[in-house]
Amino acid sequence: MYRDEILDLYKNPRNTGEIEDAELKLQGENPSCGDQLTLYVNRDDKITDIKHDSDACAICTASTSILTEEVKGLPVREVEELDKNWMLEKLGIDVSPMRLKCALLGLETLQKGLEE
Amino acid sequence: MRPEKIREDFPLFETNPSLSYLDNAATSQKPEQVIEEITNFYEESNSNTGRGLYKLANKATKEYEGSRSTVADFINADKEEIVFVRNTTEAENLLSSCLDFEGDIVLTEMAHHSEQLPWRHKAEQEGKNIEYLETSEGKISIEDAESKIGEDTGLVAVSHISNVFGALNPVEELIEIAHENGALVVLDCAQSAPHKRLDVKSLDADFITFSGHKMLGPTGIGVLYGKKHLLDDMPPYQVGGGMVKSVEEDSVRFSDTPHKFEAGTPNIVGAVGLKAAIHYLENLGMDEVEEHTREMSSKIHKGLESIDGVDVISHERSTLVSFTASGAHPHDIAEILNQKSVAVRAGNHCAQPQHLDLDISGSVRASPYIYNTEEDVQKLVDGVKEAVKMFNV
Repeated sequence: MYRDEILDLYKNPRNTGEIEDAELKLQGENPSCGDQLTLYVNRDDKITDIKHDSDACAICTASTSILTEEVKGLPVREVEELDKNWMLEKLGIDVSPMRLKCALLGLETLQKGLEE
Repeated sequence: MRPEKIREDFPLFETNPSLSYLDNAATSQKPEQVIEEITNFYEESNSNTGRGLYKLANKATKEYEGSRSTVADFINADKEEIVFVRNTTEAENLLSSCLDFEGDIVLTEMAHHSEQLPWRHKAEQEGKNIEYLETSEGKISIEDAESKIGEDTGLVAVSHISNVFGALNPVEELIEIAHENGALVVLDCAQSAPHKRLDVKSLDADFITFSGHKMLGPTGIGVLYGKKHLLDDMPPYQVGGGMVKSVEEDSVRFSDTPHKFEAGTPNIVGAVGLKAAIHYLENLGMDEVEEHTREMSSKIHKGLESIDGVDVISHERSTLVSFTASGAHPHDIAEILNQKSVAVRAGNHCAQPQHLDLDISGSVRASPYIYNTEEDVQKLVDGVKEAVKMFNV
């Protein structure tokens, strides 16, 4: 599960920090296991900028990093269509059922925020 | 105590020989003596209880009621004071639904959700205030209890041993303070009953609750103990078959305590299995059981403390060890340990408010029991070392 790529994304997460005056500031958490993250998003009909601030496990931090890299520049409508399988494919590892919510926290937080 | 020998009594370790099971605060494994007792009941004595007049029905009733006596003796209670329920959570819900009292409720910051939410629900419905006792060095603060438990307090619900810290709370003092103020006390013994000899008469708690599955028994059977006169005053929790003396068109007479709380066909094999579990523990000796758990915890504690970056939250010689590691999330540590066949718990252990108070997002918990060996301790400590090295940012 902890391939070098995942550990690298955990130790050196991509697109971290805050976007000042971001249009969307989205908070997500898995209270039972303790994953917490904030997404900062600017968008028109595309995601123009996205950053995250995560206090979470390796799986959650890595998948949120991948998410921010993948969705930047993508039309919002396409982001809304992304699903579990897409995220797991990008993550490239087998995730046990208990860790699925770690892997999907970033994507679900983003989609819920865009919907609202 | 010879844990290597005890391990041989547990079929699960035969099918999982390399497993170091250190999640006993969540549930324990079952010895073949318990599994056999359950099988025997189905093969030799199965029938419903308390109803049929034939030989087999008498046998089943005798087994079920015999289990009640075993539980009563185990905690020095009277047989009529033992109500069989599903688990600790159900016992707490039964009480919060049926117990009528004047005054406010005192809970603790360290409370497990199961001993907290039923009472919060009752407070909301009946407009009662709730106060939370603070945690001081892993135990309920007596100083805080003295200031918060007063004449307005109607009920105090606390854990005997916390499932986060594993430390024994000063319950004797708490019970005395509560009783001086005329308040009832509910003691959650889910984490103490598996390890400690309980004596309800010397504890003087009004109610205690615990689960069978954490103490070698099957799942689905738990115990509510209550002082007889208090149980007598309470209405039934559920109504239906098996808990009535007579039913006429315009009147119902309920059975006496404890049967009025056990509507429907009870978990007969659960009770029988719990009886076998208690016999198993008593054969080992509860003092020896407690000593072994504490010794294993102590060794885990020492081993973890020697690792740079690991912060042990629980006290030495508690019944369990909870810890965090800088840079490594609890789930990632548990996952690495899993890859080495070491089973631990990671998260907030159903005590979210306590973790918020400690300002940590979760912790890892290793909780040993009678079958854990020094080899299990070593595997755990080595695994944590590796995880810290791997995730250290």
